[in-house]
Amino acid sequence: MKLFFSPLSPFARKVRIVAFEKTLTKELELFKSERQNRPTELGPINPLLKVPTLVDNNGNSLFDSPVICEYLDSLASKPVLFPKEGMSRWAALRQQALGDGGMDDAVKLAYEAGRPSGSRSPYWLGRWRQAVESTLNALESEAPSFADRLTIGPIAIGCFLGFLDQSRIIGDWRGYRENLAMWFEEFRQRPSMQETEYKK
Amino acid sequence: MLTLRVTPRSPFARKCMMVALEKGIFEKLELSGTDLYGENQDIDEDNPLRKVPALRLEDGTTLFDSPVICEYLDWSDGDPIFHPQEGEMRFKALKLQALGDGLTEAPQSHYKELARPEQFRSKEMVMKHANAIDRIINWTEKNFDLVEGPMTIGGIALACGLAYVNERQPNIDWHHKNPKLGAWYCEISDRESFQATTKQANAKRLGVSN
Repeated sequence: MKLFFSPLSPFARKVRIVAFEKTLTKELELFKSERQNRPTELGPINPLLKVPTLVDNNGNSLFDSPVICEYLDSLASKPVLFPKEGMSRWAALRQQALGDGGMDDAVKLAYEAGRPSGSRSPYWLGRWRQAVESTLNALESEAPSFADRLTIGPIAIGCFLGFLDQSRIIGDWRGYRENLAMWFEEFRQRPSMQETEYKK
Repeated sequence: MLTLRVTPRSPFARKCMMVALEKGIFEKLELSGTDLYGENQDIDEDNPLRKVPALRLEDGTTLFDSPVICEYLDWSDGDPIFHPQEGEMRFKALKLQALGDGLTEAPQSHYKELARPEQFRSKEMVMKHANAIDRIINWTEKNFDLVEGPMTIGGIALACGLAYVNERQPNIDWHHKNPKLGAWYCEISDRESFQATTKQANAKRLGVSN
C-alpha cells in the first residue's frame, strides 16, 4: 500500500501511528507529497488534494484520515483501535473527532498566522484560537479516562497535542491543564509516537 | 429524547436529519437551533469545537462530528441501512462520505474568504476554493462508479454537498457539464428526506428566519 503524507501533517501522523500499532508499517510505502506537487500526484486519486491519501493493494484510493485509520484497523486483528459496537465505539469516535477537530482548528490558526502581515484577520485568529482552547479544556476534564484503553481516540488527541508542541501556535497549552499534560507525557513515550515525530 | 444541535442551513446537520428521516426515527430527535456567531453562543456545552451538528444523548453524552452522529443514528434502531458493516462496500461508502463532506467545505471556505473585510481577503484563496468546487465535482463525474449502487451515507453526504454548492454558488452550471451526476442528483433531490431538510423547511421547523 502507498501512503501519501507530509512530515508535518497531524492527520498523516495519525495514520502512521495506527500502522505502527497494528504492525503494518512494512506494508506501507510512504510517499512524501509536497504541496505544489499535489495537483499531479493526488489529483487523479483524491480531488480534495489532501494528505493523508492511501492507495490500497488493489489500486483503490482511500481518504480521509478516519477512513484510512479504520481501514488499516480492519486489516489486522490486534489491538482493536475502532471498537466494533456499543458505547465504547461512540466514545472512541467522539474522542477522535475532538482530536481531529482540534488539529483542524490549530492548522487553520497556523494558516491565518502565516498570512502576510496586514492581511491576518484578528477575528479569525481569535476564533480559531478560542476553538483550540475550548477543545483543550474539554480534553483536560476527560483526560483521566484516556489511559483506560488504546483506541483511535487517544491517538488522535496525541497527534493534536504533538502538533501544538511542534508548531507552538498557541504557546504553552499545559499551564493549568495538569491531567492532560500528565497523560501526554506518558503517551508520547510510546514507540509509535516516537517513530512518527513531526519533522521539518 | 435525543437533542440535535443544528442551524437551518448547515449541510452537515442536514446529513444527520436525512438519516433520521430515512430511518423513521425523526420524531425521537429534538432539534435545537443554535447561534454560532451571535451573542447567545452556547454550543460549547455540547461541542467544544463549537460546530453543529452535535447530538446529546439522554444520559448527557454528546457526540460529534456528522459522520459519528450519522453512524450512531443509523445503529440506534435496528440494523444500519446507510453504513455497510464491513469490507469493500463499507470503505466505498465512507470514502464517498469524505468526498461529499470535502465538497461541502469548499463553498463554505469560499464564502468565508469572500466575507472577510477587503484588506484581509486573499484573491488567491478565493480562487483556490472556487477551483476546488469544480475539481471535486468533475472528478466525481469521472469516477461515477463510486456513486453508483445502493444509497449509503456517502450518497447522502454528496447530495448535501451538491445542494450546498447550488445554494452558495447558483451560477455554477455543474448539472449540464456533469450529466451522470446531474441525473443522480435530480433523483435524490426528489426524496422526501431531502425536501424536508432544505434551509427553508428547517427554518420553518425551528421557527427562525433563514
